[in-house]
Amino acid sequence: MRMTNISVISLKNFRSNIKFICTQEQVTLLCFLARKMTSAPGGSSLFLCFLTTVFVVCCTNAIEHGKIDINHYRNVVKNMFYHAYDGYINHAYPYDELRPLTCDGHDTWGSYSLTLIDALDTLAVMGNHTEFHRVTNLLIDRSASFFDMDINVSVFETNIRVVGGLLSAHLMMRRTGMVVEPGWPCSGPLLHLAETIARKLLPAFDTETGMPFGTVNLRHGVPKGETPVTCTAGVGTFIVEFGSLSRLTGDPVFEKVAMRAIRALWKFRSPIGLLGNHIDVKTGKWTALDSGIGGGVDSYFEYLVKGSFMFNIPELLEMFREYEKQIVSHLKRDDWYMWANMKKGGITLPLFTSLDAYWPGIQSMLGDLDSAMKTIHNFHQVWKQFGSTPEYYNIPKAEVHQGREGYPLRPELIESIVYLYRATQDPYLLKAGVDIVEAIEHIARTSCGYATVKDVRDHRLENRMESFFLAETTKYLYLLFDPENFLHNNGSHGELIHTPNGDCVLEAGGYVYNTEAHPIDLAAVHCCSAQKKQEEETLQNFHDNLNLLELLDIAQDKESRIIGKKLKKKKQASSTDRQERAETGREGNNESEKAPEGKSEERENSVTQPEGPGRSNDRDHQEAASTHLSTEESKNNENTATSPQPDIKLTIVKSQPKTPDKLPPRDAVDLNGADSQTTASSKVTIQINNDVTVENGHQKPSFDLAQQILDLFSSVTTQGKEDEVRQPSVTELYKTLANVSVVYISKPSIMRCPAQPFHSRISVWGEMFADEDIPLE
Amino acid sequence: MADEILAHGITREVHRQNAVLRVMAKHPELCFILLSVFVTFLTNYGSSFKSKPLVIPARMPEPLFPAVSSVLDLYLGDLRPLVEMLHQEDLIFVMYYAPWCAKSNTAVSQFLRAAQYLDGQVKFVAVNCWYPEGMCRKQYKFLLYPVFFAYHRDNDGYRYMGIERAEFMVKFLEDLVYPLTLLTSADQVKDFLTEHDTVVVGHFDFNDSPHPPGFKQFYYASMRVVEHDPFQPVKFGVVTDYTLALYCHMKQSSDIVFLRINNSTLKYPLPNNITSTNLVRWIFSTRHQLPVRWLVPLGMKSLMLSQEINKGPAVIMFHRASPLSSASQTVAVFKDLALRYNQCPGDKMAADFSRRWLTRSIYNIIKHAKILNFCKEYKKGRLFHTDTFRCCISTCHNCSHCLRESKLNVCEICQFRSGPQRSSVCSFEKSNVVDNYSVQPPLPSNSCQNSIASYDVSSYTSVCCKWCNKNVSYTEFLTPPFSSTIIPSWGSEGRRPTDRYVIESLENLPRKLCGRLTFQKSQQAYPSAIIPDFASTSLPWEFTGHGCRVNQTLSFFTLDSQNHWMIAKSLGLDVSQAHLSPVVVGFDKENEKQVILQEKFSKKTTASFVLNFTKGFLPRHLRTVSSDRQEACGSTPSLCVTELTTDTFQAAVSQPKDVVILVYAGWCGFCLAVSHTFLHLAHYFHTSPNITFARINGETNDLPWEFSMESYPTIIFFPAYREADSVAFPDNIEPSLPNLIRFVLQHATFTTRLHLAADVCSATCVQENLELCRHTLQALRSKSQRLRTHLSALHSNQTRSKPSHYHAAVMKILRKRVEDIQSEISEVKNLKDFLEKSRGRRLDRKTVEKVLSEKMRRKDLSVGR
Repeated sequence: MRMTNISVISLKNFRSNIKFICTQEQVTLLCFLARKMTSAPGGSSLFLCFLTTVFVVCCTNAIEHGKIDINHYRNVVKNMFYHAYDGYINHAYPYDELRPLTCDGHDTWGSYSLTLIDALDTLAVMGNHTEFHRVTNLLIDRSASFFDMDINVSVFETNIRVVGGLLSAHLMMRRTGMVVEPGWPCSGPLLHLAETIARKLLPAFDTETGMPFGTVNLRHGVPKGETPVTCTAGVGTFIVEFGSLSRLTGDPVFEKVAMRAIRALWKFRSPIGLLGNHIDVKTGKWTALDSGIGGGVDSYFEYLVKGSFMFNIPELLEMFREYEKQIVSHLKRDDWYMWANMKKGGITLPLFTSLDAYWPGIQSMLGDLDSAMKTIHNFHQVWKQFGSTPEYYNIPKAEVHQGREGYPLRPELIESIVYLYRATQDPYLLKAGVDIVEAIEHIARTSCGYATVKDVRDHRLENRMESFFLAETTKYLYLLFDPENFLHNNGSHGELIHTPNGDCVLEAGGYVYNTEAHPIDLAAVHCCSAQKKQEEETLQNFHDNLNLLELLDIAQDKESRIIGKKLKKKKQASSTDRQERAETGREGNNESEKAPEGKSEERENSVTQPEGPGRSNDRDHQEAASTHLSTEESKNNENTATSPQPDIKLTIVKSQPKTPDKLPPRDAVDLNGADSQTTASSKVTIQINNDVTVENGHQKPSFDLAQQILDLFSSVTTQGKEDEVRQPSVTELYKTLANVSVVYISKPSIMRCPAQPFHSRISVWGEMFADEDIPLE
Repeated sequence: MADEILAHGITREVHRQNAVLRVMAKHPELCFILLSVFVTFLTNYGSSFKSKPLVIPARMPEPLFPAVSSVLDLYLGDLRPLVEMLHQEDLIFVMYYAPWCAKSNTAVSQFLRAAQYLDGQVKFVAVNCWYPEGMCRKQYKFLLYPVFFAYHRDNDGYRYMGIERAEFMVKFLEDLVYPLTLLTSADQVKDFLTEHDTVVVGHFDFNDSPHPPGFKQFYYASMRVVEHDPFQPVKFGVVTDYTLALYCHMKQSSDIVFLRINNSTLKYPLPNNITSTNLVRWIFSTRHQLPVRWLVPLGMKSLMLSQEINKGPAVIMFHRASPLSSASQTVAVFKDLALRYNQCPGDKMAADFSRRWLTRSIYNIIKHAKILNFCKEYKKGRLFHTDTFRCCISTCHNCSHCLRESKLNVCEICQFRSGPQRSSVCSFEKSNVVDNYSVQPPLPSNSCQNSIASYDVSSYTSVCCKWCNKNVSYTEFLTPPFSSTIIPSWGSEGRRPTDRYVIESLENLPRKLCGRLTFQKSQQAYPSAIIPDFASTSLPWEFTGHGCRVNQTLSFFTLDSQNHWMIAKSLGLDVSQAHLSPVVVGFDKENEKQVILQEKFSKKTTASFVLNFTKGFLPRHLRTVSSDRQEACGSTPSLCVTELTTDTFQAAVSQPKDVVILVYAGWCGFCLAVSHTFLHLAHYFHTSPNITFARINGETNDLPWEFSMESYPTIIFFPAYREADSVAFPDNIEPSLPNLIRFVLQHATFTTRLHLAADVCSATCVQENLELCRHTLQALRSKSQRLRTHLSALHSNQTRSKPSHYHAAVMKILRKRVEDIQSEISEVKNLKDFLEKSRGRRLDRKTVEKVLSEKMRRKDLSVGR
């Protein structure tokens, strides 16, 4: 024992000798100092300074207090996910959701093993490819009968959770090492499954306004007597999934219904440019006038932004910018976003709803980082108070809003944190992420999963685990602590694959998350789209008609080429200059913006007018005008010969694979190309509802009875208006969609993010800059 | 129908029930229908009966702190023990926590360390202020956790709003314990001011009365200012001597003055109304700018930094702050520079302060070295048992009946371990040993117990317990459990239990000093580095008073490199070596300029740095990200484009190739949308060796002004050899693949275009071009013919009339044109011949190069020039 002690000591001495050598320079310096001192303590000073130096140098090293060990937390999150996932598989499958207190399952949004579908791509994100394969194969095997059920489902939830989940899983199949068919990504079993279920949602969109019903029966279309009142998000949250579907499958109907619904909302916005919370999809009348960014509206705004850059639809971005302007002026107070009356604009409810928390994430994608960070600090504050965010939180009272005190393990806050952390790398956000992990782990963990918090004030737990916990909350948490994840690819690498559509670059970082956190690779979507086909054509043309004389500078004449902008030689480094330039840039854009502005004015007028039958005609006229406009513009562009884009637009119109005009009238049985089940169901619907008076004689007495009961109900719910008894159907929808244009006016100049101001570099760790510079003291 | 019958039956009198039965017997089908209705009902809605939302309460709180520790953990939120304790203790430091809160959990170890260090001086209590049934939660509402309060026995509570690190907590508490300093000489006053920059001095005559008027309020205020600014508190001094008071401009008792290092002395304006609130308000309203301000962002939404930055250019120093050791040399140098910079003529004090800083910091170094040496010896004396006597914790079981009897069952639990040191840290916290004993009922008084924790002979545990009165400090009776010859007694006999201060100052001084050293060591809070030319006075001649002459506000700040590394990081600085050499950065928001001190930190280099910064002589510092996160350009992804940084940017654009760079921002959605197109573009040109593609994150990599983009994504083209002719893809054109190709071809050098032409020109293209060549040839020939005719006409004209300059010039031009056209004709002809030779096949790059190599060389050469 003594030997070891000695060796330890000698080792210590040895170490300090090394340090001494390393820092001789400093020692001499110190000793010089010591000699200079008048009060130097005699002979021991030399020894002292030796000691000091060794001490100062050898024992100190780089320390960063408060640095988060992301590897540790990544494992914590992984365990969290598997605890809940295994709990679901062991106790709840094949039900929709796990009940974490009783350790059993139940059906909630349908009965199609919702959690399984929702959590599927999280498996791939966490790198568990074997389980991903197992579940995917299971879904494919069951796909034939999976969604053929007589159940009423929420159109919104089914879209974001099931369609979104399937699309995302479909696009991840290749990278998890599954064998994909040659047509992938434009075809595949999961894509087919997603398309099937999306088609079953289509009947909901057959309304006068184009806004969908909230509920649909998977077999029979919109249920009789279904309430026409839908929340705003339920109307406008389709473009990401439906746009992807349309482009992947080539059938524009999905994108058309999604755009039609979005445009309808835009039309029905209030005179001051705000939206309410609930709307009657038949009349376009608002039934809940509270305007906010959170619950009931949230994902509409989210999809405007995401849709705009995902599919290159400037129209959506313009809408968002307009809404944003009004939101900032009417709802924003002290970096909070409250609730106001949509018509008058005064604050009605000073509430934060936990769904508000997605907003900073959206802002970060557009480069409004400063404002986003300020807001996320406010939202995180609520978390710090309760260890979770209550559904509603009264801001001035700093208290939970009575009746909405739960926390169903929602992901919105962590979602924004992930976006912002990727943008700013601010360690504050990592800390906030740790807060969330630790709190969920402490509060919500049960023996077989994680439970909804019933009341954030005392952390009582409820017997429910929503599927978004596995789809979103754990996924975003994992992404926060896994900076190397493939979803964080910034675009510097991608995969080149050969498809029937030509060569495509996939997985180049362009992942857009739908509102249920299902990432969709926009490159894959682009790969299958008509634009891509057009681009291939253009390129082929270009190759065929390559002017070698011009290209090789042999002849003098120049043809159409794109000439770049000269970079400024020397930049005057002042913010005012930068601002001016930005403004002039804007003015430049105005010319191109004029057209849609005029259009929107027209639409505003039509809002003020009483709703009448002439409205749809009006819209048709507008659409015609817009297409006309675009062609005109394209001609101009051709003359100036700068951009071949307009050509593409024109040909898209031509090359739409399924022209709705061709579709047979409503009462015909055979639906062109549509799924046979859909056909059957729509047939039944038609028979019951629309043609009852005509074909009464052929129907069975039981139908008679059902009809009577239904009439009774519908007379109660719909005030007996005759035209509203008409049941929505897909055939009718196809007819209407002929007028919906999915040709977008290209505006590359607005599809850009501004650079961050110089001083933003010290906006970390909670340090902010006021919106206007604070006057000097 | 069935339901109706049933309901009907029940509403009748009771004896009619038989009738119902009878009816049922007669009509069994009715019975059946009823049953089936019931069954259907159950099957349909039965589950909804079952699934009535089940709710379970949150789990019961558990102690956050180890049961045996210097922190009293009131984990059920009971405040009564705290209130009781408040009557006995001078100072209690309370942490209100929530068990689910991550921040509370990380604060635990720091709180515990501070508690261990201040054991015996300050009581540490932790209260679960979340438990809804707890008293704390019912009384207080906190918007965040943890919240720290220091409660003074006969005074108020002081909130600690500082960094959750033990050394900062200790500093705060020490400042609260000793808020006043007695000053006895003019030199002391100056030293006092030198050390703290701003001090408040009050003159109180204790001869008149033991409680001079205003003294109590003065005392309260001295603690209150610590709460307001725990990092750079305004220190309070007391002067009792009349002559010294006069020296400090105080004429009578209860006079209070504010001494500031860079400003004149101020007198408290309300001598008859001394209240702590007024005093504190007065102090903070007149405090003004300190020579150097220590900024401590707390990680909450604040405008602290921006307020300072908005005032004008600032010089910021990142150094390793050491809150527990007074006057770090780095800060002294920096303060000295700040003072000198802003010194105006007639300011004689500065030199004096500078000298005092010098002597003071030398004194500190020596003191520190002395302590170090002493502690080493001290430790040596106990060395042989430091290996065996590993870890001891004193604990008291204050069970309810013990409290009632005002007795304590005090136990000392020791873990003995001999053999090679496994870890230098005492791992007693949360070790099961402590838990075992805390669970057990209190041992009988005055007894010792040994136990072996495992079968390891080299380690065992002992517990010794004793009952004692509460007011006796426990060091007295705790005799070491084993032969005291080996383990020197920690307590000692014959101590007067009442005279705490004497014991502390005399007997515990060595232990305290060494304990402080160990504490600092464990917290990594050391005195800062030694500055080579600390004593130097030869600064650039312009420097002293420069701020006064140019009338430009330049602020000086310090930030702690350990706690605020994130701010340094986002400025693109590396502060990992800040304990050796502080990092100094100049930040000018107005001019969007950031510069850093490149040389090693010293008085001289910093002075010239500050001077050059104010004059704008220094080059802009360009932030960049270290390429630690290299994008995988390995074998797996089939397409990859190089990521550039600020450092590699210049080299990349000046290579003898065409370079296309995508400037993007990681957060920008539109950049995501364009990245796959850019990769495709790179792939399109991948066979051409003369063009490369790269990307750079414009937000994390600063670029020279001309390449700093105002918006993203931007695609810039740098032609080979003509780097200055770089162009950006216009922002009014869709960045689609065909458009980008056209753009690149427009600006590409000849070689690149040639390669592309060879690669993509299809059979159709060959045909078309052949046709085109013929047409062009024809056109050119006719053109040339026309020109010749014109020329000959001119020529004949000239021969007739007298020659004019105009004519000569025109002819010269025309001749040149003709020549040009002639050469063009030959080139087109050349191409035509070549195309004819290829006979409708695709072009082969090598032959194309061969045919056109002459032209290629010429082109690129002319460009090169």
